[in-house]
Amino acid sequence: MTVPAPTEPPAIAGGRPPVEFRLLGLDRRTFALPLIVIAVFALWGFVVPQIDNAVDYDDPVRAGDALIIGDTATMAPPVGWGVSSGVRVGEGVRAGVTDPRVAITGDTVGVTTQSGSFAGGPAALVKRVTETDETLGADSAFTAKGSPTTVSVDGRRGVVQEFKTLTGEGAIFAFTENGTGITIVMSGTGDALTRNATKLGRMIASIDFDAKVQ
Amino acid sequence: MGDATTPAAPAATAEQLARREAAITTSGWGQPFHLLQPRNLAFWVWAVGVAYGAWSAFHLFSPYSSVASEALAVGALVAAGYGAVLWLFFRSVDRYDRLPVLLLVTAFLWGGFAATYGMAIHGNSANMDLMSKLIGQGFQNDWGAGLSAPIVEESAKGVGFLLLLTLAPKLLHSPRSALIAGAFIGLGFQILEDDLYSVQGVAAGFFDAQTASVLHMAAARIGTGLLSHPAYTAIFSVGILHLVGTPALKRNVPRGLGLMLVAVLIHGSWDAAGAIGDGNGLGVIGAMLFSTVLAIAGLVWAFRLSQPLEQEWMRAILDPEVTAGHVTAEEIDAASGRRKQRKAFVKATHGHRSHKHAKHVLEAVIDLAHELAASGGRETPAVEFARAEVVRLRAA
Repeated sequence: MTVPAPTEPPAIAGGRPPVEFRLLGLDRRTFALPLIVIAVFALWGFVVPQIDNAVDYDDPVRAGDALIIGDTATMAPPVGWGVSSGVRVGEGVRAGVTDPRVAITGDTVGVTTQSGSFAGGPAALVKRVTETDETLGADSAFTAKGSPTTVSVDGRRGVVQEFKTLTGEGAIFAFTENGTGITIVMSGTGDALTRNATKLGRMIASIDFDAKVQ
Repeated sequence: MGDATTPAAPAATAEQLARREAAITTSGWGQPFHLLQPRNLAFWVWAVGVAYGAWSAFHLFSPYSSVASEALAVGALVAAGYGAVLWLFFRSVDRYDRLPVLLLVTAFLWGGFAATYGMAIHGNSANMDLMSKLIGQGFQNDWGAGLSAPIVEESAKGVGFLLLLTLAPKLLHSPRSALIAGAFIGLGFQILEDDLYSVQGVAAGFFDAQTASVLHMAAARIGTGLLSHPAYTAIFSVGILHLVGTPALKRNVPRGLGLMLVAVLIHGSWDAAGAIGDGNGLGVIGAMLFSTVLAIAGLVWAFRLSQPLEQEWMRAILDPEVTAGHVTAEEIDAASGRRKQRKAFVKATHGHRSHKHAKHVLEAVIDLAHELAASGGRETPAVEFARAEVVRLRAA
């Protein structure tokens, strides 16, 4: 594209442009570069995000797949469910997985995981996540359901808190060790969660906290 | 503009005055900047872009105001302190003729809101999602930021410089002016982006120990990036100036594209340092260090491109003053010279007090050049005052 060099002053501040350069009260001589700006703005602000929205994830979990959910933790999701975020064990990443977040969906049930520094125990972690979600998810009427219960996975004690929202319900699983916390949140309609209870139970049971992830 | 018919001093020749007028016109020195230009499309694009970015940032941050208030407050304080240091650094580099503060604020706001929250956050998320979908999660994990961010962010910030060129076409003539204006776009981006990283950082740590998390992240980013976005955008904007061309700078497409590419490569090598270092700690630090050293070298190179022009203009503006006896030949050599010449001028006098005195005289001579440029070479009370200050300080 040839961009005219702005060797002439395009407009005197606030001055009226000559008639042959007027368009909707603007000075047409000021258009060239701002039109490029509008094009770039549209590209990153709207066009590429629309393309992204139009492309679906097509990354189903295969038998034997284990996703990295922590520095040394892995989890095997139900076969056939779609992975929208998460690195598989053996995928051969160069940079290391610095923020091992996982997001998977299957039969309208969604599962997300998070790992990060946390000084307290699993009860404190589940309380923190519940309180945060109650604030951040106020629009969807996120509220805790019942009291937290304990669970044991791979020899590690965790805490589970059920919750409900305007459109469904779910559960938060929290585990901690050595200043690091891992949460697994599953959500969906009550029917879908009941239908997939066995698969979800197997997935939680598949968690390996001391796996070799790379 | 300059009216050379009014002599600056009786002894100055017509040729000297004509050279001064030409220097003032070509350099863009002393030109005022008006943001409110309702007939200029660039003004409206700037205003809508900044407003949209601010609105987007508000929607992004407002849900976190209660759960991450500590991180937002500490993050804002750290960013303000870091921003103030960089602001002062780039103002000190801008020594020949300082750009108007309103222009710098205009640049900063574009970088901070329009570029960061209007474009980059949306473009980067979409690009990285697309990489995950089309190539794979592992590839995105390694190369997503390194491939997307330099292209999205440099273009988002760089187009802000195109707006400034249209808003201030008589002002942004030299590579130095592009470098400073670009640095302030990058500074806005850096400061506002750091707020995002503060919130993302504490969210990743379940909003626990927020102050420690923000300080840790800030130390890591500042320690490894140092000048980061201001440097990338400064180099990129000097590239754009070469690509577009100005009365002071002949269009040079290869050099312009080269500088823009250098900025993108420096940015990319920092963002992809993890993958370049292949997960090896020393390799990662090496890649970041390489990027930082290259950024500083690029910045110095871009600045040096401007020096001969600026020195010539300084000399042309002050020459009539030498002839008239208001400024000495040594003073003009120092004022229009490089750092080395200025240091030599200061060191030629003896004692701490004398060094300080020499610095003051030099500063007053540069002030006189600024006033002459701002008046278009005409005799004004400001010019007379600046001239009197040179005489006063020299005699002090």
